[in-house]
Parts: sequence; C-alpha cells; structure tokens
Amino acid sequence: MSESEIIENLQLPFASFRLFALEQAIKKGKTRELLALLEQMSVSEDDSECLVLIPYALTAVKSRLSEKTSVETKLDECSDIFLQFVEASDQQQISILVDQAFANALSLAPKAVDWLKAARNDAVVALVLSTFARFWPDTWLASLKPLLFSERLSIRMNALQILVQKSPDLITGNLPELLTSSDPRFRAMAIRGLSLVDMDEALAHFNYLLNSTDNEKKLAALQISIHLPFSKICPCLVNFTAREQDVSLIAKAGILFASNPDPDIPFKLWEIAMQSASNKQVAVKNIIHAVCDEMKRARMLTGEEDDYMNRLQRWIYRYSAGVRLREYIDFLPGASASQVLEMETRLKSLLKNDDVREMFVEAQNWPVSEIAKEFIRKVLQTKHEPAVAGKSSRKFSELSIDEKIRYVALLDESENADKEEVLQTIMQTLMTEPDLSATAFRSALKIGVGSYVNFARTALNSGNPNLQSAAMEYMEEFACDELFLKLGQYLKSLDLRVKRTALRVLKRHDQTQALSSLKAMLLQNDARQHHSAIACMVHFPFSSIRPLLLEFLPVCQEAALLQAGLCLFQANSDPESLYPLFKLQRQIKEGKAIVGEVIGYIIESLKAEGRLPASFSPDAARQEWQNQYHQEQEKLRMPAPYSLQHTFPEALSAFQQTSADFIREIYGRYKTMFNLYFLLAAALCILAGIKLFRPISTEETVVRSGAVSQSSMLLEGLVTSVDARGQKIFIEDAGGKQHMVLAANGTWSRNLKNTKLKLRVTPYRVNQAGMVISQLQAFEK
Amino acid sequence: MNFTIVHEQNEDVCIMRVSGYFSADTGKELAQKVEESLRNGRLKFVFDFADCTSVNSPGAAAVLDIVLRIHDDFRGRVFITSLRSLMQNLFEMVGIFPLAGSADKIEAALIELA
Repeated sequence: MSESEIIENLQLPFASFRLFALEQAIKKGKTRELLALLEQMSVSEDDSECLVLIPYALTAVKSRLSEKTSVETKLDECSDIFLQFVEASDQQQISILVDQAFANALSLAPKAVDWLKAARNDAVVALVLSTFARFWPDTWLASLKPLLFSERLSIRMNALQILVQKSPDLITGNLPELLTSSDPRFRAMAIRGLSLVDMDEALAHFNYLLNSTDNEKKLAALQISIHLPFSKICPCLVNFTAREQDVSLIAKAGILFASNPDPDIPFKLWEIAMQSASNKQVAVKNIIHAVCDEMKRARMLTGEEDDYMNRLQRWIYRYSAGVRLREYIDFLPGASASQVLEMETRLKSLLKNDDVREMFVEAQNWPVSEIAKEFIRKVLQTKHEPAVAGKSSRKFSELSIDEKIRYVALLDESENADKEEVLQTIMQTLMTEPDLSATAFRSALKIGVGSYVNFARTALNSGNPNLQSAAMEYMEEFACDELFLKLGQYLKSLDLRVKRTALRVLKRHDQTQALSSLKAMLLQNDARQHHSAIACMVHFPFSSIRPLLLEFLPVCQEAALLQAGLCLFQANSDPESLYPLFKLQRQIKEGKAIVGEVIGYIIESLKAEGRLPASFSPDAARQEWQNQYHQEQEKLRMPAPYSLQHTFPEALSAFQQTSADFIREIYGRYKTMFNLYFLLAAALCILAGIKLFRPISTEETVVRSGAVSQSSMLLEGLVTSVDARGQKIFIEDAGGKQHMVLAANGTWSRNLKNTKLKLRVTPYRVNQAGMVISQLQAFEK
Repeated sequence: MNFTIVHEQNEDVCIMRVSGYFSADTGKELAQKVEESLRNGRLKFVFDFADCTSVNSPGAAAVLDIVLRIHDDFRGRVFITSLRSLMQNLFEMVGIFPLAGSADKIEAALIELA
C-alpha cells in the first residue's frame, strides 16, 4: 500500500479500512502529510481500536521522519528476538515486530503461538497475526478460532484472513456470525472462505453484499468477485448495474464485464442503458463498447464479428420498438381517438426499419387482447405517412385536429423551419386541445426544445392524464429538480398513465425506490394495482424485475396476470430466464402448460439470436433443471447454519422492505380512520396470509415464501439459537414451527439458548424455508 | 486460448513476459515459474504484459496470489509493466497494486528494482 493509499484509507468511514491503513503506517509510513493526518486523527478518531494504534503509528512515522533508528528496537541476533520481545514494553514489541520479526517471519513462525501469548496489548496481538500470517503453523490453526470473536476488529480480521487462506473448513461452524459482521471487509473475507466450502451460499451472500446500501460494502463485494466464478456472479453484476446510480461503481463493474467478455452481455447492458438517465446511459454504453472491444481482442468472434454486430443492432431496433409497442398497448383501454392517432403515427414512423416491421408482425401473436391485436394490424397495414403540412399548401391552423396531431407527432422528421412556431402556437392554447398539447410536449422533447417549462408547469395540474404525463416527461428533461418535488403525488395517482410515467421518471434516477413502489403495488390486495404494476414493468431492465415477477406469479390468483407476466418473459428472451421459468412451472397449479409454451418460445428465440450454444438440448436442460430444483428444495428444507436464509432471513424476499413501507404508507394515508375497522381487516389479512403461504400439497411439496400482514401475536417456544450481535433469536414453538424474532442489536443474550420464552411479536414474513419472521413487540415472560 | 510465458534473467531480476490470454491456467504456469525462482533465492520480479491480450477474473485472482506470495512470504518485490488501461484498472480494483509496483516499460521497472 502506497503512502497516498494509506492516507486515503485512513479517511474512509469503516474502521477496518482505517485499522489496516494504521498497520501499514506503523510498518512503513514516513511522510509529513501522513503524520499530520495521524495527529488530527488522535483528536477526532472515535473508534477505540484505531485509538490504540494511532500513538504507535505516530511514533513510527516520527521516527522515520527523523531518520533515526530507535535504540530500543536495535536487535542483533534473530535468536534473541523472541526473548527481547517477551521482556519488551508494548511500544518496543511493535518495533520488534516491524523492524525485526517481519523480515524473519519464515524462520520465527514455528513459534508464532508463543509470540501471540507474549503479546499483552491488542494492537500487538493483531500485529503478531499479520506478521506471521502466511507462515502460521498448520498445527496451531485451531488456536486462532477464539480470536475470530475478539472484541478487537483488527484481531478478528487478521485471524480470519489466516484461516480463510489456510483452512476454510475450520471456520464453517462460525460462518453465521462471521457473515453477519457489520464490517464489509470482514464479511467479504468470510464470503471468500465460504466459497471454498459452499459456492452457492457464497454467491448468495456476495449478491446480498453487492446489493447493500453502503458504497463500501458494494466495493468490498466487487473486490472479492475475482475469487468467485464469473459465470455465476455475472447475473448479480447485471442486476447491480441496473440498480446502481453511482457511475463510478458502475464503471468498476464494467471492468469486470470487459475483463470477462461474454457475447450475451452487450444485449443485457443495452437494455439497462436504454432504461437509464443520461449520465448512467453514457457509463453503461462505455461498458458495452469495452466488452465488444475485448471480444474482438480476444478473437472470440473470429470471422463472425460483422454477423454479431448486425445481430446486436437488429436486437436493439426490435427491443426499442417492442418496449414502445407494449407501452402503447397498455394505454389503449380508455385512450381517446386523438391519443390512439398519435400512437399510431409514432409507431408507423418506426416501420421504416425492416427489423421493427418484422417484430410488429410477430407481435400479432403476443398474448394480448383482441383490441391490441387489431391496433397492431392497423399500424402494420397503413403505410407510413411522412410529415405532411410542410408540403401542404394549407397553414397549420387550417388542419383538422387529426392532421395536426399527425403533423406534430412527426415534427422531428420534418425539415420545415416552422417547428418552433407550431409548438409555440399549440402551447398558447394549452388546455383547449390537451391531446394535441401532449403530442407537442413529446415532440418538443424529441427535438430538444426546452423553452416550454412554464407551460409544462401548468400542464402538470391539468386533469388530462395524457397531458399530465407528457408534461412530466418534458419536465424530467428540462426541470428535473422541480418535478421531483412533486413526484410523490403523481406516484399515488390512480390513473395508470400518470402513475407509470411518474414511476419511469423515478426509475431513471433511483431504480431502487422505483422498484419499492412496484413491490408496494404488488402487495396490495387489488388486481388493478397488480395489472398496473406489471404494465409498468416494461420500463425497467428485465433483470431487475424478474425476481419480483418470480415471487409474485406463483401466488397471483388471476390467469390474466400470469399471462401478462409471462408476456414480459417472452418479450425479453434471456437464457437466465429458463431455469426460473422451469421453477415457476413446478410451483403453480394452474397455467403449467402456458409456462411450458413460453419456455419453448424463449428457447427458439434464443437459438435464432445465436444466444444459446448450438449443442443446447431442451431435454438435457430439463433434466439438469430438475436436479438443480431438487437440490434447492432440499437446501431450503434443511438450510446450512451459514446459509443466507439463516443468517439474513429477511434478505430472501424481494417484498421484504416493502411490506413495512406499505403499511406505513397506508397508515399515513388513513391515520384518522385507523381504527377498529382496520385492525379487523388486518386480522382477516393475517388469516388469508397464513392460508396463502402455507405449503401447498401438490405432487411435490414446495416451500413457498411471502409477506404476511402485520398484527401482533403471542409466541411461546424454546430458544434454539441467538445470533452474534444479539439481534436475532430463533425459537421453535410447540408445533415445531421455526420463528425468528428481530430486535435491536444486543437485545438477546446467548445465555437464552434452550430456555422457554413468551413474547409478543408482529409477524411480517414467512421465508422460503417456512420460517416465520417477526419483530419483537414485548416480553411476556 | 493460447498463452506463453517467457522467462528472462536480468542480473538479479526475473522478467516474465506474458503473452496471449491470461486466465487461471496461465496463472498456474506463472505461479510455478515464480515458485522456482523464489526457491532459487530470486526476490525481484517484473511481469510484463505487453503481449497479453486479456486478463480475466481468475487470471487476476492468480496474479494477486502470486504477488502476495512474493511480497508477504518472501519479502520480495514485483513490478508489473505494459498494462493496458483495462488491466491496470482491474489490478487496482482488486488490490494488486498496493503490493506490486506499476511501470510503463520493463526498463523503468528495472530502474526501480535496482
């Protein structure tokens, strides 16, 4: 670690990074800048372990700056070192380790345990461990295990590092505690150790770390990613890229994509780029270029480069048009004649491209309503009409409303000089022709004219959803901050068009929040909200909404919803969807055949796009999926103690946070009426929830997870275990059902194991293993 | 994918020229050559990537392990030279560079190691 990196790490928010940097400063720090920072830290540092090391670091750096070798640390013979170490003061011990033992670690290592015993200060213990780390004698590895639970993070870190590198099997039993550490470096190292014992669980923990909210945790996950198989972490990285807003972290994920180029990645990243705000779009497109460059460099596409680029381009055209078509199909019910005309006009203008036309022809076979099919047929039958009024002798004002809409919708294609004049005229009569004004806002946006923000502000308050939506799209581009202040009210809109535009705006800037809103819609007991949520999903990268769909579809009660969800799978053919769809097929009672058809359709599409290996055999794949499915079910029934579902049970559900968010939102909205009626309804929901999430007995027993509505209950049972932080307690009730009760850190003592407890809790979730997860309300006994 | 590792000796510095695609297999071969040199008392290394087309994740993990072996176990020194920006960024991200030095050319690394 260079001096500048030591300085940089000393300023990071996580103690483990600072501790590591302090150790490095003790070993080799020698600049005045570092000294000044250490002096400043001696006053401002609030971590007790760092405070222990700072005086040693200060002494070491000062000593190097004065170019004097400490008399106390001058030791002549290697054989004398240990004896002097035993007698030395804490400061002297550190000097001996840094100046003498480090250089002779290999020969001194057989006595490493004696050095450890002779160290009296925690800082010295940590340094002994790091000094002898690589040479730690195998016979003394087990003696390090107690140190994994030292109060000092630096000791835990160094002990874990040695065990991970030398004997990961030794830490298996301790992994649950290690994996739940709040320190990202420590957790990352535990995941690396776990990967040597159980790769699937390591990947699950890796993904959880990558999707945390702290940048340091995400960075730690990216750093350890090279120790996990890229083919396995790739879907996690794609999902991460879709959700992440920090372009510097996206660029780091891009380094991994480009270093492990895969012809399928540009397809997935393009989808993300298209759904992102402009700065993220640039970052993602840069990654696509880098991946393509690397594929060429690695000669992965020898002789097929042109073919590949053509396939990618063709897919991009088809995908973009498909998203637009699907969006318009959802708008059709209830759309005015003018709105339909605008949609037709805009779609027809896309048909100049043969790939798009081909996709529209195929879209006639989509599982959509007859009205939608008729709409697609009409778009395909009519010839594209170029921008009209410019060549017409009539003035714009003399055109019929239909002609005006058609003209304005195609304004970006027109070469006429009167574009802005026409737009200005329409804006002046904003409310009189709302559909025409909406078309004008969308065209102004396309052309890049940003001078109508005042009009858009007025249009936002219009009662016309089409105009409101168009104004929102316009303001997102030209007055984004102002729009965001009001976005909440549009997210709550009961109109699908307004709601989905608001959601799309939110998604471009904060996908995590937008996904939470989608989840909240799916959690409501309202089929219209479910349909709206699925309709809105078209605006999200498919890799982000797939987990949500896969959790929702098995429990949705309506065939139309299943069909709508499957339609998204069809429209986003992806090899990563095949196994999840196979799983879905096993989980549902009704609609197995439709899911089977969709799997077949996706396989054919992927083959046509060259995205499946030529050797791919559906029968062999099904056999493999079957095996994988059984293994997963087995793991869910008997989870390992270090499994993600055991250590972070709350992590397994895509609906997890939303449940609480949703309740809060409902409470906020109806708090004045939050009375007995609501409590009664909640109790009924609980009953429904318990019924809904009880394992269903079909030919195969399937463990199914889901949210349960909130209401407190009495839980009585035997404590089976307590987590290291005293935050989670595991209880088995009289019926043998497993419960996990969450409370604040330090609430549960380890001594509670094997005692009987009676608690009032609020259950909010049943995880995939059938464990009920609750929040502690009160101790009853 | 093809790869070769050519080992040259420049006084007390071992120069390993890596060409082709650097993956886990290349890493194993490089580790073996480095191990032989370490056991012969050589503690200064230059890994030259001028002719290396790509380094994938397992390759980077292998480089990290080799660098750790030289740096931590033998108190040796390593310089990595002629990296393309992608490889440079990858090595920086996964923490190879605090342990190894980086230089544009072999000559510059030799001066640093002298």
